[in-house]
Amino acid sequence: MTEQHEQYKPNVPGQKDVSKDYHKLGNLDKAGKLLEGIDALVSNKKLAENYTQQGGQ
Amino acid sequence: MKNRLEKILEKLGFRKPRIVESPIQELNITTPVQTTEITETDSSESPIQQYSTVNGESKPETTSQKVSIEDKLIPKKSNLPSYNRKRIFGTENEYGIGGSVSFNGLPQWNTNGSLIYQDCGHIEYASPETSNPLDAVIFEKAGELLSQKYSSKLYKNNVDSVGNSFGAHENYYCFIPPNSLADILPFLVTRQIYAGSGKLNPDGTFEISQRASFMENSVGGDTTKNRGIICLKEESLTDESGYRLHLILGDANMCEVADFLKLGTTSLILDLAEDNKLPIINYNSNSAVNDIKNISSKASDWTLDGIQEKDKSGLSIQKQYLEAAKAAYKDRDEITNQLLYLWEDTLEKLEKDQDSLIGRVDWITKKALIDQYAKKYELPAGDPILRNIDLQYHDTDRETGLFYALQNQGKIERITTDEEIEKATTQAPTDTRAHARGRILAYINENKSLSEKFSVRTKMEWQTIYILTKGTDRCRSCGEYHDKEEPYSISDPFNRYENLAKQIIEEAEKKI
Repeated sequence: MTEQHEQYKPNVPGQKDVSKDYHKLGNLDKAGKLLEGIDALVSNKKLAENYTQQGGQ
Repeated sequence: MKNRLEKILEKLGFRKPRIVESPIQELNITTPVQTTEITETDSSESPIQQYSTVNGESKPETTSQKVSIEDKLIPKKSNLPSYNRKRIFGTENEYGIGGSVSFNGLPQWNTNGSLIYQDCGHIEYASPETSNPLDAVIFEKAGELLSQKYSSKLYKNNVDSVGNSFGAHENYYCFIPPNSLADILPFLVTRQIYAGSGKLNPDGTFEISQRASFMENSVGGDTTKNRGIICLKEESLTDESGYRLHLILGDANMCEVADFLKLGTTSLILDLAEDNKLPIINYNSNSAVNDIKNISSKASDWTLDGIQEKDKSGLSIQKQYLEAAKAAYKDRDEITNQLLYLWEDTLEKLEKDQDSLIGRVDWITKKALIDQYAKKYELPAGDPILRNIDLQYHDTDRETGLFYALQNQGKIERITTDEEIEKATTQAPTDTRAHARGRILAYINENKSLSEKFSVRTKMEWQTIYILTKGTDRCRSCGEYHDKEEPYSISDPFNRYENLAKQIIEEAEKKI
């Protein structure tokens, strides 16, 4: 079990329930920081328009 | 006997470390064995004696020892939390191809027990059989890495620009026939509110699910057309008495938690169905196809026309299933508690604060990216660059993918680690039949002389391992020498077939 797994385990006797503390990522949108480091990766070509595949299952 | 340190650690709530060996090293009989630390207890070992402590940190030591065949096949417990329900999980991902591709060498069985093959022009990864939803997430993620070998650019999504769709299928070994599962339709129809991956249509409209709009029947057997929300494809891949539920309605998830919820909550619903504890929901299944599409078209205020009650809310339906699962299975095991907690927490946030689910739910994360980008650069809805964001979110490349850019910055919630995923690219689950498959493949691969000098090879099917050896008897009818083919059944997915693997390896070693 990893440290992160431990954080999702609120009912283990003797251990602090830190699961609530873990969910602090959500305000990224409000803080306007979600796009940091993303802009440069977004293609400015017609990548999605040219994306065609065979139909699958 | 526990030593003093073990007792102290246990009293403090710590798990003692355990030593495991990497699969290749386990098969390397006389070379030094590198050890790595995991935290699951195994009473058969005395791990603390094998660790030195430096500045309070345990450091694995390198030891040189001879490893017997018995040692190679000692059960290796998973390092994951417990899951006390008999279930098999498997996922299949058809990857979209965005670069050069090679199908050479496919189909390819891998030492982690998985299969990569070509299907409908796609690279498809079928995970090994896993016994719990957390393992299922890890081995699905491992598939992203393994599949990259065959193409310079793979997208883990379900739709292209001209309306073709390709699947992200789920498989559950269950003990109730799929054609009796109509009562779970309201759950499946609404599951997308946390399991959807999101889709930006050319006209600028946003759907929370990639696959919902491709569902045409509530129940059906086809997978490439007339797709059913409950798929009745009959291919058990086992001789046992249970059933394989093959679901094709789901999206390919990038977020680990969304994937965990998708697989885990569905399994909980199957638990309820098997235990006859499903909540009674008066639902007209004829509305299921319209309902799944209507829900996909909205980012909130989801309703189901098929509900024959006043409260038609999709969130209410999910809460009814959640409450039934909590009543039946709370404190059953660690993974179930994780699931129940995350499920409840996610439903609450879907209702009150969707932004707080960025990094946990794919469609919300993707929509936030698109909305922020459009706002920043004043782009109209449906702009080609915004559609690029939709596609590039699913790029499996850890350097160029938008999802992985977010993850690398710590903006994505995780329930696995890179180390666990990397390990899962080579090492099979230890508690299903994939174990025997992986061990034998690793052994044959490691001992190249077997295939080169003695022509010992393997041929795999999900429920059978074939050992092929160079033929010595001339065929009476054609006069040629055919390979000798020995089939070994691994039909029970819950059996790790340790003794069978041992037998096959012992027989192979006699040839060296």
